[in-house]
Amino acid sequence: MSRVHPRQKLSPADAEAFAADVDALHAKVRKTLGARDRNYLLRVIRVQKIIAVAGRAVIFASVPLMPWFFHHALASKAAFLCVALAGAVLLSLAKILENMELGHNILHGQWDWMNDPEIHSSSWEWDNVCVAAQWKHSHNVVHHTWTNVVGKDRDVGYQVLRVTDEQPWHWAYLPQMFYTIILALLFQWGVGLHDIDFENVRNGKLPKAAIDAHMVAMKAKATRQLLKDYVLWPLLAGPFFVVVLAANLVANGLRNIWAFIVIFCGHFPSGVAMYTAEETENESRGDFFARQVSGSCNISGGGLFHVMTGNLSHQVEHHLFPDLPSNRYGEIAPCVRELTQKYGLPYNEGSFTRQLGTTFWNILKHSFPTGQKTTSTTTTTTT
Amino acid sequence: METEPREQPTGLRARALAVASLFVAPRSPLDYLRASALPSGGHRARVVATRAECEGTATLTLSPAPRTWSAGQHVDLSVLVDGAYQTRTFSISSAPPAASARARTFDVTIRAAAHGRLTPMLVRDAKVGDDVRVSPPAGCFVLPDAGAGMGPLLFVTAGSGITPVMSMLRGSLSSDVLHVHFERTRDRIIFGSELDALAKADPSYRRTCELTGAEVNVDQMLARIRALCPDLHTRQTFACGPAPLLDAMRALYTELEIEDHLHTESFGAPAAPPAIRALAHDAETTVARLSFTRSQVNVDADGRTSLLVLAERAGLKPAHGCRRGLCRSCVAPLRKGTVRDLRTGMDTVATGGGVQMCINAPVTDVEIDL
Repeated sequence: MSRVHPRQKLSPADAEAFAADVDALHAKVRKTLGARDRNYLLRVIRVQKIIAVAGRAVIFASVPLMPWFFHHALASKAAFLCVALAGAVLLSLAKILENMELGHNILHGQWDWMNDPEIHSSSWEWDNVCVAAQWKHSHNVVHHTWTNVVGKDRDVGYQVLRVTDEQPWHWAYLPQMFYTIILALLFQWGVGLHDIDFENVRNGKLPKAAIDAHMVAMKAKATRQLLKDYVLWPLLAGPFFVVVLAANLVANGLRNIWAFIVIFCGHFPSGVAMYTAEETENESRGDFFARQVSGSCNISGGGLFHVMTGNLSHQVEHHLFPDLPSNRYGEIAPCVRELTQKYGLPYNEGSFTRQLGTTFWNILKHSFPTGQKTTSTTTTTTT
Repeated sequence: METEPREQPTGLRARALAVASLFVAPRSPLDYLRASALPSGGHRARVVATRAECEGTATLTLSPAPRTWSAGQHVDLSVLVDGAYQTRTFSISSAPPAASARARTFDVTIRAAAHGRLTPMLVRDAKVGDDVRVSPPAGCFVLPDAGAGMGPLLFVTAGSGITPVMSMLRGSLSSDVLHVHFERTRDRIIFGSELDALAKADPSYRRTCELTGAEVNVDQMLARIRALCPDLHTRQTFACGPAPLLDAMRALYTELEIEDHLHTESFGAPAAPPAIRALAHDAETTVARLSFTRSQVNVDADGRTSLLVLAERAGLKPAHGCRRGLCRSCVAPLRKGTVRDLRTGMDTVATGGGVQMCINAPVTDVEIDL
């Protein structure tokens, strides 16, 4: 029977060699970054703007199709709903591209090598209620340093869900499938609050003032976001205010659900490794990289699918090289897979349905008191 | 000297932009109009004309121009080289617009540095239509108070040091000007015919060109200046050229107790190739001097210890996150020198950008703005 947590411990010599190989691959890619990569990013930015403008326009175009107010041949309930939904989906695609392939990756500093003041991790802000500066801490620092270390990586369960046996069970986790759905629907708010260490505020290690400071910045950002999508754009439709508001709500909601799915499929499908803080004490660079590999999961798919996930479908490559441009992840994936084979590390890749299905199963299962006290044989999360 | 970007929106336009920005937050409406002002305060410009000067030197005419500048000031030009912007500083060589007028274009004149990477490329390959980014004009190598009341002047220029002075000469100078220009050989003189024409047309402008040959001797140059300009103490002097010449002039003016008459501008040596001094693996060897300029702290660096650790040892508490080169929390501006990525061995030379302190170590004397 396989272990509960397929953690791989490399020998010190292997760890050192693995780190050297990872560094060499990083240097190889870094040296070849150039105009081709810049052109890719500029193309994504251009396409994103076109889709955003198109989405807003199509939403407005649905208004004259409302059969209740306009009596012409084209006006019908079906035509109105189809066009309004198409507009909402287009806007949602624009927001997904903006948040994931652009925002997430630019804020990682993946494009800082261009020395472009307009596309730089220090100045970029994204179309999301989360403040970029707060996200850069909660994600780039906390999550990418402590990946899958229970109690340290707040992405493990997003401070509301129990996704591994290492988290102690509590009866409040029983309805957590319900929390999951709420979190998915409101995901941008979860991301926005994510930099608050609620656990340590609750137990008094952090002052409550930490929350206030966070909220001041977030409130300013969120106000602009809400004003834009739920007041100003709808007002342009005059009496048909509610149509635009509803379409924008759907667009933001779809983006939330998609971002939630991609992010949860990155670390919680079955077969992924979780770690304790003790295990990562005095961790060597090689062991750090091994943890990034064992703690991340890829989703297989086509080129367009990868772009729509912000290339986080290459989660393993992203966690090894968070500062390399995302368009390179797919290209280096074969090299990374080869390295994991060389050192006997897992390379968790699966279809979208497999990764999503096992992630939900994982969450459902951990609603119940699994893995209490006896940890090794009663439950298995590996396939 | 801060100057605002190209178009400081005013009135109706500003209000329209402010309203539009509410609809496209967090982007700027300018992003959708391909006209964005840069967060650094500069603006985008385009090459609208190129002109070959003498061998290895070219003038680029750029548009739009900064709103205004003073003759003698410089701008940072950033150009794309294989996907990444590279930045160098150049003096503006065209005259600033008259008061209350707006300039449509401005010139920079570029000489290809012998071992440079960027300037030879610019001189050779720049063409009409190229995009560049321009910082706000800066620098205090400017005439005291344009207009009346400016006493007699002495211009001392050497090589491409003529460029900021050219901007002054092309403006409306009403003073008695003596201009001593040094150049190695006659065919390297920049703006030679234009200056000749100016000297012919304007009797208050006297000009002499001294050829030094390949072996430059600063003492001889200084002697020539004194011989050509017996009334040194009556003139405000503007000198632009290599550092040794300027140092010698500063010493002379101090000796004559007229150091307040001397205004200098140096382009500084192009970033030297990283001097890889002994990166000894055994001894605690000092290879470089590291200065945290804002904290005014200097420490010795051994080439193997990261900037972050060195800063912390010196008692500073810089912001940082993962300490592994992942999160970029510790990025600080590299003002001078070269640092090496301890993971990859890749060198970064100071061009005004930031470096990750946790994974870079100094390989030359380094200044960090911290």
